[in-house]
Amino acid sequence: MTSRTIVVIDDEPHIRHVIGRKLQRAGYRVHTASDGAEGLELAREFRPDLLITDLQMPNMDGFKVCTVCREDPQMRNLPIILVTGSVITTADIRSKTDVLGNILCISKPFSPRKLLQKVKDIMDSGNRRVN
Amino acid sequence: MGTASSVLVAGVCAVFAVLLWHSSQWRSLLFCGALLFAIGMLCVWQLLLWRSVRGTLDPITQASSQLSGILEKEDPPPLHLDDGEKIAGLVDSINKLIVAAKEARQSSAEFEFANKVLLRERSRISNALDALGDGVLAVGLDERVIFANRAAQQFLNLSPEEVTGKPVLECVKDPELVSLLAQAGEKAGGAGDRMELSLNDEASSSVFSVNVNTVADSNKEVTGKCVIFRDVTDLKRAEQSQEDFVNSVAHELRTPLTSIKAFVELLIDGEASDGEAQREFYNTIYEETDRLNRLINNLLNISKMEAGGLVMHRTPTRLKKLIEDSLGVVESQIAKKGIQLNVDLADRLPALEVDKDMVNVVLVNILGNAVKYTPEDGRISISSTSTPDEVLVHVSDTGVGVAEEDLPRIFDKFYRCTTQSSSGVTGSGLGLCIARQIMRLHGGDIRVSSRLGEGAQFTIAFSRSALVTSLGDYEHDV
Repeated sequence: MTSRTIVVIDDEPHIRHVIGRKLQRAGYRVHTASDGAEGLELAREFRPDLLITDLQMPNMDGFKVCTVCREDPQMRNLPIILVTGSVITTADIRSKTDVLGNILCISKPFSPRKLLQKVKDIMDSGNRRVN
Repeated sequence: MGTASSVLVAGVCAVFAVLLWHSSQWRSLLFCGALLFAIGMLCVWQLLLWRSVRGTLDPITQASSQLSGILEKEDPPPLHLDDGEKIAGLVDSINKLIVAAKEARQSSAEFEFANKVLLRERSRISNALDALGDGVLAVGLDERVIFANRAAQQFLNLSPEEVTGKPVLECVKDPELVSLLAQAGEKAGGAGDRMELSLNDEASSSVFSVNVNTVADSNKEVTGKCVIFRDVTDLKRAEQSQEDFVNSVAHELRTPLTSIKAFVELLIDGEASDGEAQREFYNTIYEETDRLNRLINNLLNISKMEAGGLVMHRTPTRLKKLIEDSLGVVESQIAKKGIQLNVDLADRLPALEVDKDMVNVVLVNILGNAVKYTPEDGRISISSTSTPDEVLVHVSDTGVGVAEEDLPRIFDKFYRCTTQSSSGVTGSGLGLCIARQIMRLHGGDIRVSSRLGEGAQFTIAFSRSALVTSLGDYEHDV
């Protein structure tokens, strides 16, 4: 199986580490970034099959990362998993992510096992849709 | 009339003299007698006429004299003539006019008084409405402004002179408010229509709660509308701030929880194949649990400080001892990272009357930050100086520093610096906020100077008012 590439963006080193480790052990090629700007650079460089980003980060939040991705023709349809620890209501998030498209939201604290399953589901779906 | 009679008598005398000269004696005598009789009759008629005219003129003259200046009098008396029978009708009419004028003057005074009372009451109501923070705009059925208090004038950017009588649609520009005014219920007593209105100008942005109610008279006939504007900008900011705070707390609580849950799951799933990985996972769980505990303590401290419920227990405390105790908390981390520590404190640091537990929180926070942001083999220096007003403790490091744009907000609640995430350091953004609040409670402060990539220097300033002056042993200058 060709190794799929995933870019993980989170300002929390432990969370970056645990997501990266779980995905790497499952056979994915993982690149991690501690902020949005660095993550977008990695995404442009490595053309990932999936982007996992935290929502609440200093300077550039997860929504902004998603927006920049959608403005880039290469990443217009890139599946994105948005990890959120805030109490923004689902409706608020949905209204934004619906516009941006192909984004799956998961809440903190999440189970790495379940996150991996979601990643597999997305990778295995023919059209790389998050749902 | 007297002059005319004299001329006539002189004329008659002249005719008599001529005739006496030219005519025969008897004829002349007869004629002269007749003439003298006629003259006598004429004189009698003249006399009667004179008396009659005088009888009429005298009361008029008297009336005229009495009437002069009568209207200037406070209480004008009626005309009273000594011999006014001939002009009794005229006097009666004049007296009626005087009474009418008196009544009119009284009515005018009453009207003037009522008008003054009305103006005073209107002024009182207007002043009371001007004192309101809420804007009040009254609009008539003709859609013209009846009244706008000072707040309404300010909100709508109207000058006081141009308000009254102006068509309301010229005063109100916002299309939503125009629509609300147009839709305001026509029925008296109907529930008011509400909306939120944002007014933005170059300098500021304000949010108003606008309520439009119909105004009715005692017969429940609609006479207009009343618009109330309430500035809810501060309320909205407070709500937003509260929402941001809850969001930040949730995020900060969930972040270590996520790490704990994730690493526990990895351990359960047997993903820590070797002892080293297991130790790393357990260490992370341990650190994150501590972080969670610190966060909860910080939140409780912040909550107490903001509620004003934090009670300080000031006791005389040696500053040097406080610094040494705080260093004891972070020394293992300093050693672990191989950081060089330079302590250059004055031999005889003063004693301070402070809450030592709280000051310990400050010192541990500042020293802990220095350790966190200083790379391995870096350097941390602690020194002390003094000014006439303050005793200063300086903590400098050779860490990542603080970006210029972060400096003004570094003490804000939940603020995290640009460098924080890239340096891989975790934190809640509460420590510095709490530290500064504690120092300010003690009459002191915390200051920072830094350049990105060149380390940071935090200065903890103790006010000299906190110095202990009564305990001889503690009285030392820096």
